[in-house]
Amino acid sequence: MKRENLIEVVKNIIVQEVKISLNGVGLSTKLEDIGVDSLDTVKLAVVFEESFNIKITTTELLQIETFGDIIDGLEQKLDSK
Amino acid sequence: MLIKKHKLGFHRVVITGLGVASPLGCSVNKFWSGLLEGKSGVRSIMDLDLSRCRTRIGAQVVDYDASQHFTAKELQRLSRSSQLALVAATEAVGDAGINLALYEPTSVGSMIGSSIGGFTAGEPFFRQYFDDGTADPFIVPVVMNNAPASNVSIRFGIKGLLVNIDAACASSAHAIGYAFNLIRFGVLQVALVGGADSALSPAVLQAWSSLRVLSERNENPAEGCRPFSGDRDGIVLGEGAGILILESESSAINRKAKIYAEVTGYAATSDSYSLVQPSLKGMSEAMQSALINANLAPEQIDYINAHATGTTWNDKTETAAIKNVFGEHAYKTPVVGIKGAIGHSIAASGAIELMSCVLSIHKNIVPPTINLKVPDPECDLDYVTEGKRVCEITHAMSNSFAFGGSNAVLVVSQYTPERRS
Repeated sequence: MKRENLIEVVKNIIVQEVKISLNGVGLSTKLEDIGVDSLDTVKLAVVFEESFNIKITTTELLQIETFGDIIDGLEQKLDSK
Repeated sequence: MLIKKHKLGFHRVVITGLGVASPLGCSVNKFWSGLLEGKSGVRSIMDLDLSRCRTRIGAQVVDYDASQHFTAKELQRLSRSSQLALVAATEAVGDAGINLALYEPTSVGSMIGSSIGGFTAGEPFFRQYFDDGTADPFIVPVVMNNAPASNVSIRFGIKGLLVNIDAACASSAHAIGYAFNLIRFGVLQVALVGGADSALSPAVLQAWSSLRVLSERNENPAEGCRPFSGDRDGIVLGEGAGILILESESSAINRKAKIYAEVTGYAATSDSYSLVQPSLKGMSEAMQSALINANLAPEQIDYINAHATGTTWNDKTETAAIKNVFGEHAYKTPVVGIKGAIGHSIAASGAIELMSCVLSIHKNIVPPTINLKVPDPECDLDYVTEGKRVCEITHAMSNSFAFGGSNAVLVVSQYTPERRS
């Protein structure tokens, strides 16, 4: 999947699941600054696993801090499939 | 500078704020005026599939639009019980006019009883699990029964004792009693206390129905629950939240707070008898213990708010217990059960009912017991069936008797500055 498509899909999932707006969010935006906390991250992991047919480990989850971390992590997993 | 904790000692405990979410309305004014007018908040349940259940009536909180109080994101994490707790707590804190940030944080506690709400909230989650094997990550923080107390503590920055007290129908009465003792002895200065619960989901209703304790008056919901009536046929389950602000007398006086009443007694006893049957001995001992704790004679109680669930066994046993404890004075004391009006909100019932006692003391008026249609020779006390009644109340007693035999009896009194001996 192209990176810009992945960003679009991920944004739609976050808006749908976390019920927040992502206006002005960039790759370096910290998740906690836009109201995405640890509970939300766990929920998003479940949805990403189902949507992309991948597995996300707890260790990988703990390393996610920014929106860019999400995109980079998913891109890596999709490329290695 | 923060208001420092009290030294351990003996402090009088007063009630300075009230908040409620009830089937009669989501404000103390609506709740109280509905009670006084003899209204019923029991209705047919239209938004649940109860086609396989013998009971299709309940006491829902209908005067409530969640979107007016919470964002969509917040609602994902809040069970019905937690939502109602926050609505009631917000009213109570506003009513008390208290700035909790001024207190040493660990001297303010949140003790909110919740018992069946976790099962109710968990039902859709478990349905999903049995359907497709998946589990929503939000299940645990949403359904845990300490979520109402926890959410209140997060919302109001409370850092003292945070507990859920689960004693079924006596939960919130015990929570109030627990807070009373902690403030009395100087461990806390302020507490947000009470209960929040919801028993309205298909499986929960079916479970209670199978116990054969629920009213099946589906054709006449408003008259479904009939405390003390000779034709009573059981409980009407419901939901609700009642939150009271308890604080030390000195805290209330120093900030010139309005004082509704004083908590003057609390008894916690157990029947050691049955998981579901009431005990005459247990109920009697609980009321006697509360009188001793309050240092009052039976004749000094002017009003009793009864547990009065509308079951055959509870109402006649409670009546007999009142006669045991109060003797001839039982016949001169108004005894009111309000579950005909608001249903049985399980853990929240004790707090909401105590609130009605507090309002009766504050306003010198008692609400009626509604739906008493047929006399029962075993229930022959003055249940105030003619409508609201003006009467001066100095001391009132509120009973909560739970499945499992846990009993909580509270005594509240008119507050007077002169110290009692």
